[in-house]
This record gives sequence, C-alpha cells and structure tokens, in this order.
Amino acid sequence: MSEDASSQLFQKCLVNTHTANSLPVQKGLFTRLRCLPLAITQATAYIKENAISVGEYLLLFNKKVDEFGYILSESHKEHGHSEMYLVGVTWLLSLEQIRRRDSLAAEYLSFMVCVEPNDIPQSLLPLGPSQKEQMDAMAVLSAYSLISTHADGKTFDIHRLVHLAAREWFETEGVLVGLMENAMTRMEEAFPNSNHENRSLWRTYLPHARYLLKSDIVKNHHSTRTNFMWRYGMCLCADERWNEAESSIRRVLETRQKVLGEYHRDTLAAMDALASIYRNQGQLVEAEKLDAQAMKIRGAQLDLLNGAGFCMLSLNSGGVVRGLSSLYILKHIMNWLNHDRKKAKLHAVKPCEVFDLIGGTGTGG
Amino acid sequence: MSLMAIMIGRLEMNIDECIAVYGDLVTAIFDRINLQDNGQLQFNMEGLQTIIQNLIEKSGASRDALLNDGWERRCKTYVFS
Repeated sequence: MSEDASSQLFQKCLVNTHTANSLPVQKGLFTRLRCLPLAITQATAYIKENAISVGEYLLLFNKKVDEFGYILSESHKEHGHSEMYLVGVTWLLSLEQIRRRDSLAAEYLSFMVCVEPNDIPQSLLPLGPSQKEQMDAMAVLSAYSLISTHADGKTFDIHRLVHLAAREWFETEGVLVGLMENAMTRMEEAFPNSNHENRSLWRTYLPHARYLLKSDIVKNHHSTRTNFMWRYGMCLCADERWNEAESSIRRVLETRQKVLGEYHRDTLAAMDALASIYRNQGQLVEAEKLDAQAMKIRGAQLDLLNGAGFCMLSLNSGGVVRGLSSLYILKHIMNWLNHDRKKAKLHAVKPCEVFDLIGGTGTGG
Repeated sequence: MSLMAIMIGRLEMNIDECIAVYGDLVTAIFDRINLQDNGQLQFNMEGLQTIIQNLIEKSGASRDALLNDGWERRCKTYVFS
C-alpha cells in the first residue's frame, strides 16, 4: 500500500481526528508499519480508543518491538514473515490494553486464538457473567479492530496474521497449552449431540473442534474427553464424513474398553458405531469382524434385563379371548425373566420395567 | 389390546394385576349388554367409561388422568385402533 493510501486509511479509521498529529509523525508511523493495512488499522484503533497521539503510539510501539521482535526474529524474520512481526507488535499493544480494560474481552481473544480463525460463532465463546458483558467484550474487540463481524452479527473472524502472531506469542510465553486446554473444555461443554435438529449448530462448530483436536498440544486421549469425542464422531457420521469419524470413534472405543470394560453398553454402542463406519467405508471384513465381536459379547451376557438396546412389546388386536391369552403369554415371559431374580431374592420386575416401549392396537381390551 | 398396553405400560401394573383387572372388566362389560329386537347387541357406553375410570383410579392415578401426564417414564406407551 502506498503512503497516500495509508494516510487515507488512517483518516478513515480515525473518525474524530486527533489534531495533535502532524503529518510527518503520521508518516513516521506508516514507515514503521511498512504501510501494512492490518497494522495501520490496529494502530489507529488503539490511538482512537485510548485517545493518545501518534507520537505516543510510536514510542509504545518501539518499546514493544524490542520485546516481541526478538522472539519472532529468530524463527520468522528470515522467512519473510516481517508482516506477522509488525502485526504481532500492534496486537500485543492492544492485548495489554484490553486486559486492563475488560478481562472477558481478553478471554475471548485468547479463545479465538485457539480455534480456527474464521467463522467463529458467538455461541461457542466462553460464557460471561451476563449477556450485556458478553456484548461489551465483543464491542471492545471490534473497537480495537481485532475481529470482524459477519453480517449476521453472530459470527466473527480474527485475521489470520493476528491469529498466527498471537499463537506465537502465547507459545513463547508458555501459556498456549493452558489456553488450548481451556478452549477444549469450553468446546466439550458447548458441542451438541448428533440429534438432527442440531445439525446447523454442529456444522459451525466442527471446524473449530477439528482445529483443537488437530493440535498435539491438547491431550486428546484424556478419558474425560470421551463424551465429547463421541458426540463429535457421531456428528461426523451424520454428515457422512466416515474417515474423520473413524479415527474419533475408534479412540472412543479404545478408551471405553479400558475404562468401562468390554461389557458396558456404551462400549458396545461404540463398537456398533465403528462397525457401521467400516461398512460405509467399504471395509466389509473389518465391519464383519467387529460385529461378530459385539455379538459374542452380547451373547455371553444372555441377560435380557441388562439394558443394552431397546425392548419393545406389541399387543395386537384379536378379540377378548385372544387378548387374555396374550396376557398369559406375557406372564410366562415375565416368569422366565424373573426366575433368576427370585433366586437372588430380588423383587420381581413388572413389564414396564423391562420394556422400553409398549404398544397396543385395536379391540379386545 | 389398547387397554392392556395402557394397563401394563402407563398404569405400570404387574401381570397378575392386569389379568385380574382384565377379567373383571370383561365381566362388567358383558353384564351390561342388551339384546335388541333386531337381534343386534347393544353396549352401554356410559357404563364402560365408568368401569375404565374406576380401573384407573384403583391403580393410583386420578379418574381424569391424561395418557401423557408430562412425566418422563422409562417405559413409553402408545395405542391406536
């Protein structure tokens, strides 16, 4: 961008122009920021929000460069990443100011750095004490030109360069792991289950969940993450993204086998899900193997009251006498089911405790 | 069969209770049948309603209880005729 264009951008961003800024000082800023639009926008926002002069900003900037530049210079300067370095410094100045002003805004910023930089839904952000404070925090981030809001007002982007520079900074500070863990915890809490009415929600969350899971920083294998991994995997199944679903459901299965044991209904559910994924991928042999394994476990239990799966009872029409006969058949079934319970001196279960669904049709009672 | 489903599903009766109540029910209904002049059988509808309401009351629910009373039960019940 040329100096003239920079100046125009500067004037445009600075609505109530701080007249104390002489043109040469402004030029000094542009040169320092190498006329990089993103850096100028952020610098201008900072100047405007804090009502300081360009000269003062330049002083702050130069001070920060020593701190930040030295970190980035090693890894990035030589790779032509000087842009990131400039944006990094303007970002850091803004962050420090935001931390002083609004801790929730700072938390949001940290969260956004941990997920995919584009299309961040507001509902995914950590919850603040009140809706007003949440909106205030978003307003602060907008005022500092750190995020841009989509037309719907509920989705945000953070500039890729800011994202990159911020991650770099947090990593050097040694806090990135903690921030990622926090973001993961929030994701676990917010991620919906695979009920189809949640489809549009999970579609907006999926890229961010994927981003978090992709990084090696977060301990994916943690057993408390299994619930989230299960929902994540099942949503991927619902979207027919079998390859991605496979790795997460396989992980769920491994954890459940270890933690809950082979015979638990959740372990069996994961086994069924994985078998169905294999089948959809065309890995029929694998699917068959897993099905057989699940069947063997279920067969070994032979206890119809164990609650795995659903039990249904249907009473069909057929006149008074046949109606009575089906009650007697049911009585036999119940006696058979209660046989072992009686021996163990447990109370006999009623049909409504065994069946998950009871239906009746027509006449005859 | 709809009634049976309601008795064991919604009213949560055990099977022996259900058989006993069903027996009473059948007796009560057939006792109230009138043979009309044209040879057709006529059932007493009002009587049936009272019998069923008594049955519901005996199982612990109120006379006017709805099939869906808003309680989340382990066992779901449906009927159609």
